Amino acid sequence: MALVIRDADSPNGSKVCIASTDTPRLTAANAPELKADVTAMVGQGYKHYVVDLSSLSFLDSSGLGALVGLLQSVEAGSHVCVCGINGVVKQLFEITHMTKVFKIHNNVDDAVNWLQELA
Amino acid sequence: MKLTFTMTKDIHESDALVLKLCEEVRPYLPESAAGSFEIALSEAITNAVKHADIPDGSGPFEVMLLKRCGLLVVVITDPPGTKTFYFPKTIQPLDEIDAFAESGRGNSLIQACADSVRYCVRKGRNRLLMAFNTEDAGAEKSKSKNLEVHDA
Repeated sequence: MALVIRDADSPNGSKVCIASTDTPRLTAANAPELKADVTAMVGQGYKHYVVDLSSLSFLDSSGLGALVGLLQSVEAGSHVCVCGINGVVKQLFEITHMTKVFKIHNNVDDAVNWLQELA
Repeated sequence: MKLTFTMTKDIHESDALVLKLCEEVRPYLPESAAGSFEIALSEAITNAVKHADIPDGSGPFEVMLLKRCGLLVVVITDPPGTKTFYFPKTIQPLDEIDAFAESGRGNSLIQACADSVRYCVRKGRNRLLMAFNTEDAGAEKSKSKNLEVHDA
Protein backbone atom coordinates (compact mmCIF):
# COMPACT_ATOMS: atom_id res chain seq x y z
CA MET A 1 0.00 0.00 0.00
CA ALA A 2 1.36 3.42 -0.99
CA LEU A 3 -1.46 5.55 0.45
CA VAL A 4 -2.94 5.83 3.91
CA ILE A 5 -6.55 7.01 3.78
CA ARG A 6 -8.82 8.72 6.27
CA ASP A 7 -12.07 10.63 6.05
CA ALA A 8 -12.33 14.34 6.74
CA ASP A 9 -15.15 16.46 8.09
CA SER A 10 -17.30 16.82 5.06
CA PRO A 11 -18.52 20.14 3.76
CA ASN A 12 -22.07 20.06 2.51
CA GLY A 13 -22.46 16.43 3.60
CA SER A 14 -20.12 15.14 0.94
CA LYS A 15 -17.27 12.84 1.83
CA VAL A 16 -13.72 14.10 1.63
CA CYS A 17 -10.88 11.64 1.37
CA ILE A 18 -7.53 12.57 2.85
CA ALA A 19 -4.78 10.36 1.49
CA SER A 20 -1.16 10.53 2.57
CA THR A 21 1.82 8.64 1.24
CA ASP A 22 3.44 6.09 3.50
CA THR A 23 6.69 5.96 1.57
CA PRO A 24 9.36 8.68 1.15
CA ARG A 25 9.84 7.98 -2.57
CA LEU A 26 7.27 7.36 -5.29
CA THR A 27 8.98 5.99 -8.39
CA ALA A 28 8.40 3.53 -11.21
CA ALA A 29 8.98 0.74 -8.68
CA ASN A 30 5.95 1.54 -6.54
CA ALA A 31 3.80 3.61 -8.94
CA PRO A 32 1.69 0.54 -9.85
CA GLU A 33 0.91 0.13 -6.14
CA LEU A 34 -0.07 3.81 -5.92
CA LYS A 35 -2.26 3.47 -8.98
CA ALA A 36 -4.03 0.47 -7.44
CA ASP A 37 -4.58 2.44 -4.23
CA VAL A 38 -5.97 5.37 -6.23
CA THR A 39 -8.38 3.08 -8.07
CA ALA A 40 -9.57 1.54 -4.79
CA MET A 41 -9.93 4.99 -3.22
CA VAL A 42 -12.08 6.34 -6.05
CA GLY A 43 -14.42 3.37 -5.69
CA GLN A 44 -15.30 4.33 -2.11
CA GLY A 45 -17.75 7.13 -2.88
CA TYR A 46 -15.77 10.19 -1.90
CA LYS A 47 -16.68 13.54 -3.42
CA HIS A 48 -13.39 15.39 -2.96
CA TYR A 49 -9.79 14.28 -2.45
CA VAL A 50 -6.87 15.79 -0.57
CA VAL A 51 -3.52 14.14 -1.25
CA ASP A 52 -0.94 14.97 1.39
CA LEU A 53 2.59 14.63 0.00
CA SER A 54 4.38 16.25 2.95
CA SER A 55 6.25 13.06 3.82
CA LEU A 56 7.40 12.55 0.25
CA SER A 57 11.01 13.43 -0.59
CA PHE A 58 11.02 12.27 -4.22
CA LEU A 59 8.47 11.74 -6.97
CA ASP A 60 9.20 10.69 -10.54
CA SER A 61 7.06 10.86 -13.68
CA SER A 62 5.58 7.41 -12.99
CA GLY A 63 4.39 8.47 -9.56
CA LEU A 64 3.11 11.71 -11.02
CA GLY A 65 1.24 9.70 -13.65
CA ALA A 66 -0.57 7.78 -10.94
CA LEU A 67 -1.68 11.06 -9.35
CA VAL A 68 -2.86 12.35 -12.74
CA GLY A 69 -4.82 9.10 -12.97
CA LEU A 70 -6.75 10.21 -9.90
CA LEU A 71 -7.74 13.40 -11.70
CA GLN A 72 -8.94 11.33 -14.64
CA SER A 73 -10.97 9.00 -12.44
CA VAL A 74 -12.99 11.35 -10.25
CA GLU A 75 -16.54 12.31 -11.09
CA ALA A 76 -17.46 15.68 -12.56
CA GLY A 77 -17.60 18.38 -9.90
CA SER A 78 -15.06 16.68 -7.67
CA HIS A 79 -11.89 18.43 -6.60
CA VAL A 80 -8.45 16.90 -6.17
CA CYS A 81 -6.21 18.96 -3.91
CA VAL A 82 -2.51 18.31 -3.35
CA CYS A 83 -0.72 19.66 -0.31
CA GLY A 84 2.64 19.56 1.42
CA ILE A 85 4.82 19.59 -1.68
CA ASN A 86 8.40 20.63 -1.03
CA GLY A 87 11.90 20.31 -2.49
CA VAL A 88 12.26 18.02 -5.50
CA VAL A 89 8.56 17.10 -5.42
CA LYS A 90 7.62 20.77 -5.76
CA GLN A 91 10.20 21.18 -8.52
CA LEU A 92 8.67 18.28 -10.45
CA PHE A 93 5.16 19.75 -10.10
CA GLU A 94 6.43 23.09 -11.36
CA ILE A 95 8.40 21.96 -14.39
CA THR A 96 5.63 19.61 -15.52
CA HIS A 97 3.06 22.42 -15.03
CA MET A 98 1.06 20.29 -12.60
CA THR A 99 0.68 23.34 -10.38
CA LYS A 100 -1.89 24.48 -12.94
CA VAL A 101 -3.67 21.13 -13.01
CA PHE A 102 -3.97 20.32 -9.31
CA LYS A 103 -5.22 22.74 -6.69
CA ILE A 104 -2.13 23.13 -4.47
CA HIS A 105 -2.36 23.95 -0.76
CA ASN A 106 0.23 24.32 1.97
CA ASN A 107 -1.26 21.65 4.21
CA VAL A 108 -4.28 19.43 4.80
CA ASP A 109 -6.12 21.98 6.95
CA ASP A 110 -5.84 24.63 4.24
CA ALA A 111 -7.14 22.19 1.64
CA VAL A 112 -10.11 21.09 3.76
CA ASN A 113 -10.94 24.73 4.61
CA TRP A 114 -10.86 25.57 0.91
CA LEU A 115 -13.26 22.72 0.17
CA GLN A 116 -15.55 23.85 2.99
CA GLU A 117 -15.61 27.39 1.60
CA LEU A 118 -16.69 25.99 -1.75
CA ALA A 119 -19.67 24.21 -0.22
CA MET B 1 36.61 11.40 -10.99
CA LYS B 2 35.39 8.37 -12.88
CA LEU B 3 33.08 5.83 -11.28
CA THR B 4 31.39 2.88 -12.93
CA PHE B 5 28.36 1.01 -11.62
CA THR B 6 26.30 -1.83 -13.00
CA MET B 7 22.61 -2.61 -12.61
CA THR B 8 20.25 -5.34 -13.71
CA LYS B 9 16.88 -5.01 -15.45
CA ASP B 10 15.06 -4.82 -12.13
CA ILE B 11 13.07 -1.66 -11.53
CA HIS B 12 13.10 -2.33 -7.79
CA GLU B 13 16.89 -1.96 -7.72
CA SER B 14 16.98 1.26 -9.73
CA ASP B 15 16.16 3.73 -7.01
CA ALA B 16 19.00 2.55 -4.79
CA LEU B 17 21.44 3.36 -7.59
CA VAL B 18 19.84 6.79 -8.08
CA LEU B 19 20.35 7.55 -4.39
CA LYS B 20 23.94 6.30 -4.48
CA LEU B 21 24.83 8.46 -7.49
CA CYS B 22 23.14 11.52 -5.98
CA GLU B 23 25.31 11.06 -2.91
CA GLU B 24 28.47 10.76 -5.06
CA VAL B 25 27.81 14.01 -6.95
CA ARG B 26 26.72 16.09 -3.96
CA PRO B 27 30.16 17.69 -3.43
CA TYR B 28 30.37 18.79 -7.06
CA LEU B 29 26.93 20.09 -7.96
CA PRO B 30 25.49 23.44 -6.90
CA GLU B 31 22.78 22.83 -4.30
CA SER B 32 20.24 24.35 -6.67
CA ALA B 33 21.02 21.69 -9.29
CA ALA B 34 20.70 18.66 -7.02
CA GLY B 35 16.97 18.24 -7.69
CA SER B 36 17.38 18.48 -11.45
CA PHE B 37 20.15 15.90 -11.34
CA GLU B 38 18.02 13.48 -9.31
CA ILE B 39 14.99 13.90 -11.59
CA ALA B 40 16.97 13.44 -14.81
CA LEU B 41 18.94 10.50 -13.46
CA SER B 42 15.87 8.73 -12.12
CA GLU B 43 14.00 9.13 -15.41
CA ALA B 44 17.02 8.00 -17.45
CA ILE B 45 17.63 4.89 -15.37
CA THR B 46 13.93 4.02 -15.34
CA ASN B 47 13.74 4.45 -19.14
CA ALA B 48 16.73 2.17 -19.63
CA VAL B 49 15.45 -0.54 -17.32
CA LYS B 50 11.85 -0.43 -18.58
CA HIS B 51 12.50 -0.17 -22.30
CA ALA B 52 15.76 -2.00 -23.05
CA ASP B 53 14.97 -4.94 -25.28
CA ILE B 54 17.34 -7.57 -23.93
CA PRO B 55 17.11 -10.90 -25.69
CA ASP B 56 18.46 -13.16 -23.01
CA GLY B 57 17.53 -11.99 -19.58
CA SER B 58 18.79 -9.20 -17.46
CA GLY B 59 21.73 -6.75 -17.75
CA PRO B 60 24.05 -5.64 -16.64
CA PHE B 61 23.60 -2.03 -17.69
CA GLU B 62 26.63 0.16 -17.17
CA VAL B 63 26.26 3.53 -15.47
CA MET B 64 29.37 5.71 -15.56
CA LEU B 65 29.84 8.96 -13.71
CA LEU B 66 32.71 11.24 -14.62
CA LYS B 67 33.77 14.81 -13.95
CA ARG B 68 35.71 16.85 -16.43
CA CYS B 69 35.88 20.38 -17.84
CA GLY B 70 33.36 21.74 -15.35
CA LEU B 71 30.84 19.06 -16.17
CA LEU B 72 29.48 16.01 -14.42
CA VAL B 73 28.64 13.46 -17.08
CA VAL B 74 26.42 10.42 -16.59
CA VAL B 75 26.69 7.72 -19.24
CA ILE B 76 24.08 4.95 -19.23
CA THR B 77 24.85 2.07 -21.57
CA ASP B 78 22.50 -0.79 -22.33
CA PRO B 79 23.74 -4.36 -21.86
CA PRO B 80 25.57 -6.06 -24.73
CA GLY B 81 23.12 -7.63 -27.16
CA THR B 82 20.32 -5.18 -26.45
CA LYS B 83 18.34 -4.29 -29.56
CA THR B 84 19.54 -0.88 -30.77
CA PHE B 85 17.08 1.77 -31.87
CA TYR B 86 17.00 5.26 -33.31
CA PHE B 87 16.24 7.91 -30.77
CA PRO B 88 13.83 10.73 -31.56
CA LYS B 89 15.55 13.81 -32.97
CA THR B 90 13.13 16.08 -31.20
CA ILE B 91 11.63 15.58 -27.78
CA GLN B 92 8.32 17.18 -26.88
CA PRO B 93 8.73 20.12 -24.47
CA LEU B 94 6.97 19.59 -21.15
CA ASP B 95 4.55 22.45 -21.77
CA GLU B 96 3.31 20.73 -24.94
CA ILE B 97 2.46 17.43 -23.26
CA ASP B 98 -1.20 16.83 -22.48
CA ALA B 99 -1.60 17.82 -18.84
CA PHE B 100 -3.83 14.80 -18.24
CA ALA B 101 -1.46 12.27 -19.79
CA GLU B 102 -0.49 9.61 -17.27
CA SER B 103 2.81 8.79 -18.99
CA GLY B 104 5.25 10.05 -21.63
CA ARG B 105 7.12 12.72 -19.66
CA GLY B 106 10.38 10.82 -19.04
CA ASN B 107 12.49 11.98 -21.99
CA SER B 108 11.11 15.51 -21.75
CA LEU B 109 12.10 15.67 -18.08
CA ILE B 110 15.61 14.47 -18.89
CA GLN B 111 15.88 17.16 -21.54
CA ALA B 112 14.56 19.83 -19.18
CA CYS B 113 16.70 18.91 -16.19
CA ALA B 114 20.10 18.09 -17.68
CA ASP B 115 22.32 20.84 -19.09
CA SER B 116 23.10 18.72 -22.13
CA VAL B 117 21.77 15.40 -23.42
CA ARG B 118 22.92 13.08 -26.18
CA TYR B 119 21.66 9.69 -27.33
CA CYS B 120 23.77 7.43 -29.51
CA VAL B 121 24.64 3.86 -30.34
CA ARG B 122 28.24 2.91 -29.66
CA LYS B 123 29.70 -0.48 -30.39
CA GLY B 124 26.20 -1.81 -30.90
CA ARG B 125 24.91 -0.57 -27.55
CA ASN B 126 22.37 2.19 -26.86
CA ARG B 127 23.93 4.95 -24.84
CA LEU B 128 22.58 8.06 -23.12
CA LEU B 129 24.92 10.84 -22.01
CA MET B 130 23.71 13.59 -19.69
CA ALA B 131 25.90 16.49 -18.58
CA PHE B 132 25.43 18.83 -15.63
CA ASN B 133 27.38 21.97 -14.85
CA THR B 134 29.41 21.60 -11.68
CA GLU B 135 29.94 24.04 -8.83
CA ASP B 136 33.30 25.08 -10.32
CA ALA B 137 31.97 25.10 -13.88
CA GLY B 138 32.77 28.77 -14.47
CA ALA B 139 36.47 28.39 -13.80
CA GLU B 140 36.89 25.09 -15.59
CA LYS B 141 34.78 26.04 -18.59
CA SER B 142 37.16 28.84 -19.47
CA LYS B 143 39.83 26.19 -19.99
CA SER B 144 37.68 24.21 -22.37
CA LYS B 145 36.92 25.26 -25.91
CA ASN B 146 34.24 22.68 -26.42
CA LEU B 147 31.58 21.94 -23.80
CA GLU B 148 29.47 19.66 -25.94
CA VAL B 149 28.78 16.23 -24.50
CA HIS B 150 31.02 13.82 -26.37
CA ASP B 151 30.80 10.11 -26.50
CA ALA B 152 33.20 8.76 -23.88
